[in-house]
Amino acid sequence: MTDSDSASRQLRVIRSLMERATIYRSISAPTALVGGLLSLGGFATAYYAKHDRHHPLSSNEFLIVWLVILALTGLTNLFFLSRGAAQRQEPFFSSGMKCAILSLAPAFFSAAVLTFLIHRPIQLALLWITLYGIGLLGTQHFAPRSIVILGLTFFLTGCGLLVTWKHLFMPNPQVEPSALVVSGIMAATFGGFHLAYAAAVWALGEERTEPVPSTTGTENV
Amino acid sequence: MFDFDRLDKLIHEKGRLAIMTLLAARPNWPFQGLKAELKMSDGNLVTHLRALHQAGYVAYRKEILIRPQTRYELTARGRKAFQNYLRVLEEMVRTAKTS
Repeated sequence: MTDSDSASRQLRVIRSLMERATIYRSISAPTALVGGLLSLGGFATAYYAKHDRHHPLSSNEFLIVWLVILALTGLTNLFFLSRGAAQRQEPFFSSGMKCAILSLAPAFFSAAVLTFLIHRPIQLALLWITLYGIGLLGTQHFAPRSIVILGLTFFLTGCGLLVTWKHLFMPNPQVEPSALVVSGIMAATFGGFHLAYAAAVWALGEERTEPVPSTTGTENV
Repeated sequence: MFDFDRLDKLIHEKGRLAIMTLLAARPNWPFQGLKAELKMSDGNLVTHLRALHQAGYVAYRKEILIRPQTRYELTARGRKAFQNYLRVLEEMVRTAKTS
């Protein structure tokens, strides 16, 4: 083996080790806080429609409310991820970001397609919850533990509800769960779980122990 | 002709290179985390970490969370040495390709 081969091999080992050790957080704690609060706002909207407007949210209105929440949360995440990348002196489309997009894409794309095909809010909500969990679990090879736990919680809750929802929310098979009930499920999961995640990340100081720029000259990096 | 003396011999050893790489990828690692990732024995890992610490490449701090643990991190000197080591390796590959 030549010295150049040996150097190439060393570089490959270094790259593989670094990729294994690199952590990328696809959802920042501030985003989770904003998303959680917006989800509670979604429930408040459904509550307002039923009790003040005296006209519950229709299926289309339900969809619009939650798509707006998704869009606002997505924009918030982009903002915080780009700020984080700037602080770490990394490009926005870093290798971690690319891995995260590729890992999340199958589940998120499936959710987007199903959103066009399914018009019953309860079914949509449960599929969103399950697929979101699957998407987050797809990032487990480079995600911090809190993201994996969040993904697992969504996945198990979604699966559990998919199996039991008819018994839990449809005591009368002829009557669909109202938009308020479905919004309640969305608020409890996308709201409650994200707020718990944000609180856990801040309480454990997890974000403070994640990668810092490799070119910093400080002593304790 | 490439000058091999430019390669940092301390880092060039397989075990220490792996330790330096992991420490460069995250701000710090607990001893148990390094041990699990590198599948090294306690004695082997301690020996390598001690050598890197004596060279001023690695710093450590002891802390007590649920139980006492030691966390290791690269010093600025260690990070610079690692980056320099990578540069030399890349240069070796480039030189071989052009010659």
